[in-house]
Amino acid sequence: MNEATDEQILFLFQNPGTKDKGFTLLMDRYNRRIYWHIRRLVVAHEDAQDLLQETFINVYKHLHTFNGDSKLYTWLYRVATNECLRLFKERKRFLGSFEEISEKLVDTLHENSTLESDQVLVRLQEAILRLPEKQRLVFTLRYYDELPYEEISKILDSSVSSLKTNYHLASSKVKAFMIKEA
Amino acid sequence: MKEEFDLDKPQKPMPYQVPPGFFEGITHATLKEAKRREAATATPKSAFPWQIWAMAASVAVLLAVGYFLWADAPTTRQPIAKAGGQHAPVARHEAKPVLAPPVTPKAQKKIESKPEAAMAQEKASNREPRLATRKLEAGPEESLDNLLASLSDEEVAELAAIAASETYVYEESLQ
Repeated sequence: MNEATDEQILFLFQNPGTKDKGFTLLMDRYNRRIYWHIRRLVVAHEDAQDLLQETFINVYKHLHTFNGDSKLYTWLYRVATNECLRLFKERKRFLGSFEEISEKLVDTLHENSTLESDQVLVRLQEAILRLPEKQRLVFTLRYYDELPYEEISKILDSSVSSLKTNYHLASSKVKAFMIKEA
Repeated sequence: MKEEFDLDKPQKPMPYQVPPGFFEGITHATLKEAKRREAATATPKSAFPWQIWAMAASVAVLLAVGYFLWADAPTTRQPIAKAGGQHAPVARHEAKPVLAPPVTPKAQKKIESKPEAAMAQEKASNREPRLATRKLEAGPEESLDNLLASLSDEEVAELAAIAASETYVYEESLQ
């Protein structure tokens, strides 16, 4: 079902008679990518499911305002990232600090991992979860989603040079953690 | 060379599990929820439900009725209070001229026995409206003394004759 292009999906969505069909094609095309982006940030499947739904409900409500300045997937990643940041902001009120949130996410990671889980992958995730928020966002978008810096800069409202610096710092910290924990 | 995002490129492995069939069901569930929310925002609940509007309308009606009752009250009560203080007739224009009553058989006998009285009765019958009219025209402040003072001697004599023959007519004339 991924044969439809972004232009075709937008055309279908803008027509009231085919809006639902356009939305279905859009979700079928992007829901896995967006889900994994969210899941890497919030760890728990239940949270990822809720945020994925909220992301696409926002898309359903506001896709008619999408003017094509950026690519459609960039816009989707931006909406999803904002939903994750909103969740972190809410949790920060209860947990007090970003470090507390990171600790909570690491706990959730270990609860979700099973004996079959690759322990190297679990340690890598733990290293990423212990990064500062901005570095974590840049690292996941660049390392896992392999997005170009120009697109990441549109998603995070940040300059490319700042993103490169953050990615470099994040990579160094992750490597140092993996060596230490090996 | 500019980098390009490849949507179909296999993703790096993750240590997480996803429930089977999750991606197949999430699209339908999300579309359903999105449509439900869209319908809910299309017909937003009024900040003021109909009960509030009904209560406001009732208060407005009560205030309007109260205002008109209060506004009418001075115009109807004030003249009564003034008139009562001066012992004035309620409505002068509503009074009708008092006519002499028809001669009863008893009075007829008296008239036959006393021709002067009959003449006075006849005159009284003719003049009574004028007297009564004058009395009514006198106004509220005019007293009985003023009324009598305004009568000529001849009219006073006629009144006396009427008083002797018919007390009712006499009293009516003075009222």
